[in-house]
Amino acid sequence: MTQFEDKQFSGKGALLPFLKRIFTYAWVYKKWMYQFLFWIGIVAITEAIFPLILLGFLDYVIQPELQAIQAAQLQGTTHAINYVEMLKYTGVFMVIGLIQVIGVYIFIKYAGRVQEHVMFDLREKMFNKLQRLSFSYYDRSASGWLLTRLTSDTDRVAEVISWGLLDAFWGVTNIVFCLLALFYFNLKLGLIVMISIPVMLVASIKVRMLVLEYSRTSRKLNSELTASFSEHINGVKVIKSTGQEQEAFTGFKGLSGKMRRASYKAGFFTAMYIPIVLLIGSLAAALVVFFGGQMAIAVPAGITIGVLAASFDYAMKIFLPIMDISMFYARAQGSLSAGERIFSLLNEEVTIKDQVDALSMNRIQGDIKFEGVEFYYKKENPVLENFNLRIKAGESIALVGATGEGKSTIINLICRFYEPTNGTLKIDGKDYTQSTLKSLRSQMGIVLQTPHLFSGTMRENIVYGRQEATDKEVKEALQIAGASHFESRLNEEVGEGGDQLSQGEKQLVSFARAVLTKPRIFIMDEATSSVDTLTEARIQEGIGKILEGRTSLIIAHRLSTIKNCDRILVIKKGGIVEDGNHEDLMNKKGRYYDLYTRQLREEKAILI
Amino acid sequence: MQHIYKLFAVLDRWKGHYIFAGLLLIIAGVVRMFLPKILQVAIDGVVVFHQSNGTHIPNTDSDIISSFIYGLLPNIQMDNLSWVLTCIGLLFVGIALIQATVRFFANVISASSTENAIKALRDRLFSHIQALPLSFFGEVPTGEMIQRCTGDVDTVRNFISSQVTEIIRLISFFFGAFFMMYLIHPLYAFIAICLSPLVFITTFVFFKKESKIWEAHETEQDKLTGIIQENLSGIRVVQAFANEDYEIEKFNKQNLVKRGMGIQHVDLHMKFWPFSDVIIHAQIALSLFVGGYFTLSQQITVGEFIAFSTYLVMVAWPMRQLGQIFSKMGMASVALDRIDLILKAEEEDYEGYHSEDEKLKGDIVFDEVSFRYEEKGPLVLDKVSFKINAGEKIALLGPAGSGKSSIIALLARFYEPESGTILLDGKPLKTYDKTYLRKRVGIVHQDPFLFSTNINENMAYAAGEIEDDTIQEAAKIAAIHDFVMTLPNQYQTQVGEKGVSLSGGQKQRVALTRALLQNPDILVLDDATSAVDTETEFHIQNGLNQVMANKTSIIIAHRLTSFQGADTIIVFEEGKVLEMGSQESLLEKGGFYRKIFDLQSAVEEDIRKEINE
Repeated sequence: MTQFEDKQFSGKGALLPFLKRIFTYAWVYKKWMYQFLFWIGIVAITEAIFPLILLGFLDYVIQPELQAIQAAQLQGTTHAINYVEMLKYTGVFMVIGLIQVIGVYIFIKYAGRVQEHVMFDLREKMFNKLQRLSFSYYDRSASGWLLTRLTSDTDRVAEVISWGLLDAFWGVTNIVFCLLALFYFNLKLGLIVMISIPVMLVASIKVRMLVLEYSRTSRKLNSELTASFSEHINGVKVIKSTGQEQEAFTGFKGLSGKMRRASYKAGFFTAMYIPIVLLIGSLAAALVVFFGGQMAIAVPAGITIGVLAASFDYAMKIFLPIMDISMFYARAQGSLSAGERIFSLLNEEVTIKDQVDALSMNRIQGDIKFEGVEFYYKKENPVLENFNLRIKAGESIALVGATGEGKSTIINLICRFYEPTNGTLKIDGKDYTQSTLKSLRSQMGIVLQTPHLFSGTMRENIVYGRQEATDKEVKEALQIAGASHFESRLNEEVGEGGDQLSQGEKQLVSFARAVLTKPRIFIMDEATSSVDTLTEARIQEGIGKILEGRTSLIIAHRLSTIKNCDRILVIKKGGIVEDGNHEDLMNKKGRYYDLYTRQLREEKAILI
Repeated sequence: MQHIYKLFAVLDRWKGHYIFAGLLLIIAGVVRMFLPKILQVAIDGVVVFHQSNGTHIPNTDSDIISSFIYGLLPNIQMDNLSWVLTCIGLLFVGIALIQATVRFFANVISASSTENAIKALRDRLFSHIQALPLSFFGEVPTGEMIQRCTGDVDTVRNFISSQVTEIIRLISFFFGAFFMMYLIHPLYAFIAICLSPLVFITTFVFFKKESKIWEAHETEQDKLTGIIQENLSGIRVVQAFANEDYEIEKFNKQNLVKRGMGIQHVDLHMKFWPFSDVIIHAQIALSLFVGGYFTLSQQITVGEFIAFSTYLVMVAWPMRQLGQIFSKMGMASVALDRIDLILKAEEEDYEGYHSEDEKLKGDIVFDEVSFRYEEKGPLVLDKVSFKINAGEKIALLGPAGSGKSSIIALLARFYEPESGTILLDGKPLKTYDKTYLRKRVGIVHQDPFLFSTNINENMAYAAGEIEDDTIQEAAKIAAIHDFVMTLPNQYQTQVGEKGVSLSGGQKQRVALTRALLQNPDILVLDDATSAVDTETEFHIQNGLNQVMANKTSIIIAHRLTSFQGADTIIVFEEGKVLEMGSQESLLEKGGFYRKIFDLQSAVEEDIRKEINE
């Protein structure tokens, strides 16, 4: 069951290819990407400029003015305050602020659009892929796991390439410009702040990785919790009827306890994160105050008050971009496995597909021929080996035999749900892999063992294979399926998966659904096991009509259903042990005779 | 306010811890307020003092915080400035350290109490759900119920883990920073927050809108998920009917709607954030100008002005965050309401007569029993009376919806009858302890449910400690042993979503084994072998006859072959007993049973003829 396990990714090697690959999905929207990267840069730069305005305000307006005022006071005169200069700086502040606001507007607009479009595209691609993957893929993939790929996994990955990228780009640009400004005004203070950056970055990535590790554990446990809730709600009838409530609760408590511990550990490191980063930032700020102060009291003064204040400001705020960069890193790491799941689905090879030169099949006559067909699900256990069978157009064939002998496999091969691993299967004399899938399946009517319905009305379900069917045709199909009594219920909602109907009712609807397509080849895999005796009798009446004028294959346990078939094949261990009509086989007194007469013995048993 | 109270109630026994964490955060917030103040002292007390050649002596008593800080520092003179600066640096580091440590502990305490409280909530939900009557499960769709226990609990968890402490932090920040500004210059302080209410109001309005759009977004997202889910579970049908394009079209439509909704959501943010930023920028620009004026008119010092500009930012952003928190609080309380709906539903009353070692004899009497599932729903059973003697084998027959399964539901006390009495071993059924009763009555349901674990554990589910041999014996009776042995890991093979998927008949047989291992005094098979082929069913019957000899068993089935050897057959129609009696008497009577019998024995007639030929 290895395919069901959540793979653990070791970060270093996988991160870059992963980022590159999702980037190609975002790069489809080149214009938006340019826009949002450009403007996020502008926003980061304006953010770095704000402390400089304060610096200018202090050094070029307040300080000179203050000195002038004090000088005037000493001389006993007054100095008129220069409001124009003050206004100029406030004005510049507002202008920079407005530019930033425009940038924010634009980057939200485009980053959001990139995110939504990447999600849309990924989901679309995956959904299309899923429609084309063959049964063998679904045999080994749980549908719940596939669903997450199209939902939460997609969300996470799209977030990395939009808001995640935004965080990273903002962080880097902001740091670069803060440092540039600092270096320009004071090399020494710039160096102090610069040294704090890698320390902060390393510390914050380290802590974030610890958080990530424990949140991974807790996420895993969380899905177990969900599974547990789901199972114990779905299976509540079993739990109650066996009186196992206490035992179930004990099991759950163990799980929720594990969850608490894992979440707490993640919470512990999260609690550590901001204090650590802030502390490092504060250390840098303390050094700025100390060295800046030293410079200010040196003779001659090496620094102005404005530069000191601005440096302090930068030092106190530099943790913000650092947090954003580390956030991006953690986010990307955290969505690695989501990305891996998505891309492995997109990379999955479609095993049953139209060949390049495949032609559309015309109206099928219904001549089916197995030539030396071999088939296995697992190489060690071949189901069919050198299997040969010829079904003539218009014949009705019954397959009889115990479970697991290969009946369903034969049918699955004809439907091309699987393809022979060796040998050829011909329809109307032509290898069916040379025709298109659609032209083949659209001429087949298949009633599967488990009757799956879609939510919607009963009518919607019946016309599923032929949307344009008229009311009259629906009525006819119902009649053939022995379900005329559904006519009045056609607008009834059947519920999710048809849950509002009983198993027997579902079988009838799925039967009618197949009948309605007027198929050239009709296939029924044990499709009436759950209907009651009266309905069964009604189906018997209708079935003759279905068999007329088309090739049909039927698997049924109740032999009465198949007695009238042209040929009955008894299948055992992937081979045909008996072949003939009912009479032939009865005379042969072989396996079929046994099966058939056993029914009598049972009937007799009742009477004993 | 009621919301807050309710959310607070979730904290349960850990309320005290929370309050303690909150207090620590307030302390951390207050301590944080000192940092800009220290810069102010450094500038006014050292730099300006030095620049003015010691003429400009700092006012060490301008406010309590400043005087506190000056008090910690050595006396400031022209010749010890370097030493003063060192002290300032150390003080700064000390305060930052205290702040970080206090904050760390506050976070840890809140994290641990959150996880404790949430575990308690989860446990409560789970055990409560297990004790709810079956009727409740019909009312609430399964998916929704799971969503409430998981997604909604997560929403509440996220809120109390991060937002509760965040609220305290922001409020203490806002008032702390305002207080510091007030100390510097009261009028200036008020000017500095004059636009804040505007930010608060727009944020609040925005998040009201946001939650609406978000809800719509979630609805569309759910629809999309629904479409994918349904497609995946029906993928075989989709492919069988070559309907892939139809499905893709359906999906694309909804995918597009979801994207549109997502972009609407983005657009709301696109308008809001710049808008609130403009107000904040205007606020800061205004304060800058006013601050410049106050500095130049010498009402505040340069150092105070610089400290002030730091506080300015501290005051502005809590306003912006609070609206967001309120909206999250809204979401959390909606989630909590949904959880409450489950918690408020009444539990089953299990208490009643039970005995450790006493077995049930299996005498069952239904006397004029009427029953309906919903109070105003249709009558499902209408004055049904019958008697089953201990050790008898009873068959229930009748079309779908005739009331057969309801008999079973009443017998296991999943529901109580509307009128009439049911007696078990002569005692009223309702006096029995439910757990005891259900452990003694083994039921195999129509749609077998298996847990996603291995086959062994599924079989032993209700058996407690049990030997492997015993399991295999029961599996042999249920005619599933041979099949299990062909599986890769045999009895250890995983079943369900993450394992091997069994066919309907195989599941039924595993469920039958489970019921057998429960070692019940009364065995009930509710159409439990419908998907098993006749030959296998025949084997099962033989085995059951041995195990259940002298024990009461009740069988519901459609095929007459499933009824072999029944002592009494009860035929139901529309909630009433239509016919009752032994096979012979019913055949003679020529009613419903006769009709079914004739249909099925037509086959037999044919066979007989053919054999005789």
